[in-house]
Amino acid sequence: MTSRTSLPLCGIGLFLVIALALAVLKAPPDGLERGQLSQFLGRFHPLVVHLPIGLVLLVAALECAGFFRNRKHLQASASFVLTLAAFTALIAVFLGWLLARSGGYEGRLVTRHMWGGVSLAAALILCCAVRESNVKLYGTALFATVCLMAWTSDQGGKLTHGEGFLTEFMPAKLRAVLGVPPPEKRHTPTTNQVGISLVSASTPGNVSVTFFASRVAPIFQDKCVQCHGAQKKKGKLRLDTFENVMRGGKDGVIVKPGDPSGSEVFRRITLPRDNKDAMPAEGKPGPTEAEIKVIEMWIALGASQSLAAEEVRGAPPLAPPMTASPPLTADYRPRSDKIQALQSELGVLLVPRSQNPTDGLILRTVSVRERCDDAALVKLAPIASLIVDAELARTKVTDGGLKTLSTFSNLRSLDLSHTAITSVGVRLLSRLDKLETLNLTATGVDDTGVALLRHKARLKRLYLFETKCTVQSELQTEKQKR
Amino acid sequence: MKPESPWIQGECCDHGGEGPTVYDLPVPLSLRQEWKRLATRRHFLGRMGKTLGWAGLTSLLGSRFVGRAAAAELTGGGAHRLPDFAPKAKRAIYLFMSGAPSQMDLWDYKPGLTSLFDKDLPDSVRGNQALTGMTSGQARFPIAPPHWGFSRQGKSGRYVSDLLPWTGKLVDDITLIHTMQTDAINHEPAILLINTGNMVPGKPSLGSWLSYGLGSMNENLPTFVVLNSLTIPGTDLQPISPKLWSSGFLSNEYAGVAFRSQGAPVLYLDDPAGMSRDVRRELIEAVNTINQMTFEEVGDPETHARIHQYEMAFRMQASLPELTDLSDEPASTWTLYGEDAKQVGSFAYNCLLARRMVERGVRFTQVYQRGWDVHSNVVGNLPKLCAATDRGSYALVADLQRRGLLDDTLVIWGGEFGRTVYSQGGLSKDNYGRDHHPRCFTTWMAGGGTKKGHVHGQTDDFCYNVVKDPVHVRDFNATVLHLLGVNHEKLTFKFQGLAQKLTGVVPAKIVPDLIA
Repeated sequence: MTSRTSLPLCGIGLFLVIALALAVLKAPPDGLERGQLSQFLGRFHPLVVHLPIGLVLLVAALECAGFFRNRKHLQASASFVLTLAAFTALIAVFLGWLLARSGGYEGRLVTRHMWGGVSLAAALILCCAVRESNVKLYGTALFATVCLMAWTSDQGGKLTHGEGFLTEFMPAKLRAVLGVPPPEKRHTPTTNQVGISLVSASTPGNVSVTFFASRVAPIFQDKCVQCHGAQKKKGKLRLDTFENVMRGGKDGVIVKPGDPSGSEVFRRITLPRDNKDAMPAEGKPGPTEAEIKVIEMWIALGASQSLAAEEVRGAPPLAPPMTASPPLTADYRPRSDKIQALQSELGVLLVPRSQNPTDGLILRTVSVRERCDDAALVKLAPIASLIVDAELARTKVTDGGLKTLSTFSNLRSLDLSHTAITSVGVRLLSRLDKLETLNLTATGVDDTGVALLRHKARLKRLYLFETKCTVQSELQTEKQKR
Repeated sequence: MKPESPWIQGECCDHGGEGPTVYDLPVPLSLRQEWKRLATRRHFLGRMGKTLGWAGLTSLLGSRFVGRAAAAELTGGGAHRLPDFAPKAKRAIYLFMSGAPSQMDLWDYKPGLTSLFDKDLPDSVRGNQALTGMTSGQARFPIAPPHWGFSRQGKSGRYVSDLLPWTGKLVDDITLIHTMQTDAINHEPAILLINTGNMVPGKPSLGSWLSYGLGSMNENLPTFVVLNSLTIPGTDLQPISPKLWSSGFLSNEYAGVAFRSQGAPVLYLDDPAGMSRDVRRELIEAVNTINQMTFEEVGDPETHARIHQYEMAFRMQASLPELTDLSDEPASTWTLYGEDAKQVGSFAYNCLLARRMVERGVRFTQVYQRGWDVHSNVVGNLPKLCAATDRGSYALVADLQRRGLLDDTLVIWGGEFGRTVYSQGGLSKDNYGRDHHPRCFTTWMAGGGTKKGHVHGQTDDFCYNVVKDPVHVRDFNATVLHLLGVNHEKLTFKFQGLAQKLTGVVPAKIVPDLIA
């Protein structure tokens, strides 16, 4: 493209940029909802916006390729791509403005993003204009444009996904190197958390935990503030603090204390999910029965900020935390090769207890009882710390093998029933501090062997049926412990 | 030249080659032939694509990054996945009382009924319920109180029928669910619903889902075994059939293996006289080679299931005699299970066998006892049924408990629905009958992470409707899967365009109250 054709194009582009800038100035996003067509078009912004991003990066790549003699020809297409980038940037800015105007957006972040977009379009047109005439200026401008684009995209990303989206799961070490502050604790209450706060509530001098803070706010936080928060305020409604919840939105107050069915928020979350007014809006996960119940109770009890959680009777229990179990062992996956080698060598199975790789392994010998002996246990020693549950019933394990087993420090459950072990070996098992279940049914063990075990704090179940031990009567072999 | 036949018989034809198939659509012949090739190639390509993809990915990234693939390799025995979370129960035994035991005669104590003898069941209780054809024509619905007394049992002092002197002792160790509910009012759909999660035949049973989902623990025995108990003379028998333990659309290797109650547990397992195990091995090798060739030619995964079955049969030749040889049982076993357990095929014998299978790594054992369908002569038949099953059920739980196996074994006792409080046919002081009742029935669970001494749910004074905490069959099945570490929403198999699961399409919920 020659400068003769590009200059008028640049003029048109510049004119459009000024028009858009005026639009942004005169009609800034104010959070109010507007016409359906503008919403429809506006929602293409997140899609179209990736075109200029990709194209600008391509321009930079093409120009850089030009530094190498054998790639010189690539540089020739840079001009065309640049024009395309400027053109798509204009469209993206226009759609972005429509989206911002269509409701739910206001505040510093969106304003900054919009001015970033307008400036970017302007910068791209400038690049187009000077590319042929001033190489030095062009290089500087292109570099600045790329930087401006990165910043603007970042603002846009924060707008959609929330601040800290990119860095939320950044490893702590990298975080320290880059000086990124630690992530905000996501407000998902667990039984544990409440348990702790209830304990602290009972100590004098502490404010007791409120029903709103512990039960209601987390629901708003989880299901609502993505659109009704500080960044996006659809319908001018914010549900991020108690005051904002009570203030309501453009349609007025949403909570009528004492009257759940008359409260707009309750009406909206209990509408059939296919209703146009149902909240959370289509495509977002709806509230659970328990969550609806909590909100209903909170409003019925006067929508109080200060009501203590313990005063509310009959609230649905908190769902048990899904990511509960603390790691029992190290992740077995890095040792997969070793584990498989042992499986094929010994015939035993080393089965992960669950899909959680830190739940440890089960040592399963039921198919190869004859082959599983003391020597096999010695061979398993390298991965012993991964074994949580050892099923060794009816194997050839003897007291000698128990010496090896007593180093399997992560064992929680051990089944040695119907083996030739005696009290001599069983005494060694008292080294297993994490052991919770020990099955010694039909073994040569007697009272002298289990005397030490009875004092183990963690041992909950000790089975001694068909042994010489005195306590083993039917249905009472389980060790009684408080 | 003779024109090409417009009829190409395709493998997809559902009508034995008689009717038109997809290949008969008016499209060019070449396209139809292409479809035909694709139909057989589809299995093959689908599988190969996945295998190669994983192989490539694993070699690229190293097994460390392909955790799921590595995990699948470690499960052994063809398990498709690992438990979603570490479960308490590793295996389960289902004592299935086919025909539907009467809940108010055995477990659900309603003292108020005694004074209502021969009074009419209020219409408001029955509501607009559609009754079975067996009682819908009855002029009146007279209340039949239980013929037997109830006694306090255990430390909790819960009332249990005097018909269950043994199982009654377990009240402090089991979870009683009084509010089981089902959608079906007749045996066949109800028993299918509770066993396979669907009233329509063709779905995999609970045991098959568990085999498929969790895999085998012992390669020498089936993962899922069905034991049919000897029937009790004089009782009303409802038929049971292999569709209750079929693998449905899952591969055949996940189907239950039913042991016979008389003679050899599995037919044709013994080698003919004079045939050595080596010769048998060679024979199976040869058959497998031929099957493998078939597989390579056609690519149907069912051929692999067949190879698997031959291999399993060969290994069972060695493992089954050991399993069923009770001579190594100590005297304490017979004191607990009683002399009945010495009769091969009796319910008590099957309970003992179930315990031996637990010890040998069978994932799921289902024991069926038929005969509970007491439409008439409750007074004559119910004591016989209880006598046959009471001690065995008790002994199984107690035995697992004393041997330290109950913590990780779930035991379930129950039927497909309940029975009506009103009498079917004539009611007298001495006898009565009870019709089918889907609105509430009692099931109990023991071990495997369930609560001890817990009673769940409440029925009304007539033992007719649920007042509090109903447990639908699908919720029950979801809970059973949960106890075994399986998320019922995630254990799915794509078939007929649907991600099929045991609990079906109606949302099922786990019952947290049952879980310790």
